[in-house]
Amino acid sequence: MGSGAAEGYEWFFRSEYPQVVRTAYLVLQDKEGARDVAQEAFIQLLRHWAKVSRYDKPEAWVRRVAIRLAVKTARKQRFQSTFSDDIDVPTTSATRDPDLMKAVATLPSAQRAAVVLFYFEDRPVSEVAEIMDCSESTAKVHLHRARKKLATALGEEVTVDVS
Amino acid sequence: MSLDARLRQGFIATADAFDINAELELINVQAAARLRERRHVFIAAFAGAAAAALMLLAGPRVADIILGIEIQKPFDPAVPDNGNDEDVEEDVVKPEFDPEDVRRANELAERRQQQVETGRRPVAIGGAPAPASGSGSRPAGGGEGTGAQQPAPGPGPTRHHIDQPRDRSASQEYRAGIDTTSQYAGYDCPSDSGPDAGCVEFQARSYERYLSLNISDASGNAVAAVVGIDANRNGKIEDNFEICGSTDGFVEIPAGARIEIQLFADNDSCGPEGAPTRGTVTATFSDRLE
Repeated sequence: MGSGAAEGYEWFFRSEYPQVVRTAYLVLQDKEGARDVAQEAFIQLLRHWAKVSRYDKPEAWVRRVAIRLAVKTARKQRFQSTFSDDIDVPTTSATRDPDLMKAVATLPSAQRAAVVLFYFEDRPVSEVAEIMDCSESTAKVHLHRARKKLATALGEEVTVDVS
Repeated sequence: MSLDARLRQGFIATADAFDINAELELINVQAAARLRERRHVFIAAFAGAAAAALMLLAGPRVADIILGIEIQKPFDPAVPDNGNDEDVEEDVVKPEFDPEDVRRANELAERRQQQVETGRRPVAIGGAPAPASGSGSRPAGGGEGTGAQQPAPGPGPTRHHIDQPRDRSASQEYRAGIDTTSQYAGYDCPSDSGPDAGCVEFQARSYERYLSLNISDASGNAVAAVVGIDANRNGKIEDNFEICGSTDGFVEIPAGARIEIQLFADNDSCGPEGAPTRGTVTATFSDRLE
């Protein structure tokens, strides 16, 4: 990798890594797991930087990798939690709404990824579908079911569906 | 607060609580990427080396399989022998022979071969003329005869050669008959006797147990003789018998015995025609009756 490409990668890393690791953290609700997922995504980005850097949205590429890894890891955690009955929910003092995070933790991993991308990263459904590597309608279904479950769990009322 | 607003605010607040040092993470990611790259190179090199080693080790066998060469199977006593083994010779239980017999057979074969090639009187091993057997203190009257009638055997004491009957013929010429009225007639030949005094002798070998004799004078008439047998080769005749011209086939003798033949000058037993003043005695020895 040339010095120019290395600089471009480092600039991209500084601007995107914090957001990617936080997104992974919200999906996994595990800091170490989020760091591992984000590191792996950016290591793969480094290997393919010469090609990915020419894409229109290289940030979408690295998020797709990170979300795929996060969903995969979350499924493993969910499978393990069925035996350990122990869900790692952020309960730090900085967590303003622990009930919300507990309710999110009960969602299936794909629905979790969809609500994090839609509400935290504030991405439209089309980009949510692109990052999750699924169709828009599938992304809408994930969001609809997630909001419905969360509303039930939190005692909220679902007003309008996402669009 | 609506669910959507609650989700947005809750996510942001939780994510902001996650302290991230991007510079440190960048270093970690670059180091991890370099380490992984080296590991890939190492794994590739190791895999290449392992593949090369496998090819070296398994290559010939693989080649054998591909080329259809039969792989040697472990010995299984339950599988009958097809008789095609190249090393079957090692499995044959070879008969044991007396080394002395083998040595004598070799000697005989060499002498016969020499006789056939040169047409001369055979010589004993060591270059000396073939010695006449006998007591040693008296002249035996020449060596064994020149009347070999068998084809020359092949070189070496092969098993085939040993398995065949070993016949040997020897001839001696006599130049006078013995006086039947002398004190020696029918007994031992005198010490100064010999072909010129009507006595010839032969020496059977250690494996020769049968004797056939044919005696004729210069005209081809049968000649009477007394055949003495010195089984111990001590110069004393232990047994004798009389013949007229020839034995009736092979007669059994002690192996290795000395044979002494007295040729009668007055050929009474064989008729008036015989004149044993000069003739030939042919002795044929054999190791078996076949």
